[in-house]
Amino acid sequence: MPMADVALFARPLFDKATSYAHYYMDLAAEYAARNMRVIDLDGSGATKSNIFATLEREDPIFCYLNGHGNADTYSAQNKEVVMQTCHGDESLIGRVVLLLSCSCGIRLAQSAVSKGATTVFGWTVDFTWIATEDAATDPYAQGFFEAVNAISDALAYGKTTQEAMNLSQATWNKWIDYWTSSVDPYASACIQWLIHDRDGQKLFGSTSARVTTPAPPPPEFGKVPLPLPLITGYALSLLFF
Amino acid sequence: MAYQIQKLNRFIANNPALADIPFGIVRGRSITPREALAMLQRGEAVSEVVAAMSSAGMDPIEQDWALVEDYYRRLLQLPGPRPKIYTFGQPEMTIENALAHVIAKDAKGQELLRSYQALTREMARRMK
Repeated sequence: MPMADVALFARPLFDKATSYAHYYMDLAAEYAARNMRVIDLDGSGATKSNIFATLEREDPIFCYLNGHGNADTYSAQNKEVVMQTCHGDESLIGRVVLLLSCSCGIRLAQSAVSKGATTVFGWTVDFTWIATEDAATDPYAQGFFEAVNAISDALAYGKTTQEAMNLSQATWNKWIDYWTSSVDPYASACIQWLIHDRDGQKLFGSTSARVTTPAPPPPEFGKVPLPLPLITGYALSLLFF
Repeated sequence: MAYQIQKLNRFIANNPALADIPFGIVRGRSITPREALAMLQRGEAVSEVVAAMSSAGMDPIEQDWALVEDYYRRLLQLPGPRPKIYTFGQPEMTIENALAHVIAKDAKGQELLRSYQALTREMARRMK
């Protein structure tokens, strides 16, 4: 029986794509650590052996895993295969899993649930985003990863899996609305992929599971500030009232 | 027609990011909401523009291929820095690469098409 209040984060770092998830998952891990015990396998620590050792030893109820993947495979640091539909996914029995990887929602997530995982959040599409700069400063990438982190943030403060899903969908929509009203020349490309990832995000398994008892979230902590144009827009709108 | 002009004016004001995205084909060329508005204001191809507006997001697949190709060609004309397209597990894609996939209609091109179709459905929803 997995341990409530314990979370595992696995965030590889070995190419440009993983650098974005690595940065944003760090924010989510810090946020979760205010209310749960977090084991953070970071960069070269995000290996198959470390992940399985942590599942065995710490028995976390919540796992937030990033890496490359496809319909049948999740991999971690340096594309080391961690689990596939044929084996490895049975290690998720009784756990709530956020699998931030391409297309794992097509088969792997469902396979894990069929073997006893409580809930798996996954994507039935290749999770896609656009960016021009590094993770910490890129204006386009923020919305994509904030919408995913909304799941982790909600679960870490006692929301159910369905509530976490709803909050995430609301975050996707907030960012779609934000970019729709933007005059940035590439806003449409951002909207295109926000819609793609929002619609490809699926919840498999239990909709009523929790990983911890409900607690009030710390205000503002862990949230990425709204981009300056949005703040400026709000401020300007106040001038007319 | 005044109602359609009003709708397009409102759409462009509320959704500037979507004002220059091709959503339909009129007289053999793709049109954006801004171009549709200009055509209606000139009284040009009015019934075709109105028909394109009402079928936005529900176009035949061959028309969608033409629209998504034009969309990426238009993105290539915009000022830089141009964003790259990232996924977990595949090499990053430039907008030039995306256009090449669309022209080739390969597996990646089909995914680009599907995501573009979702974008035009969102435009149609907001245009109503």
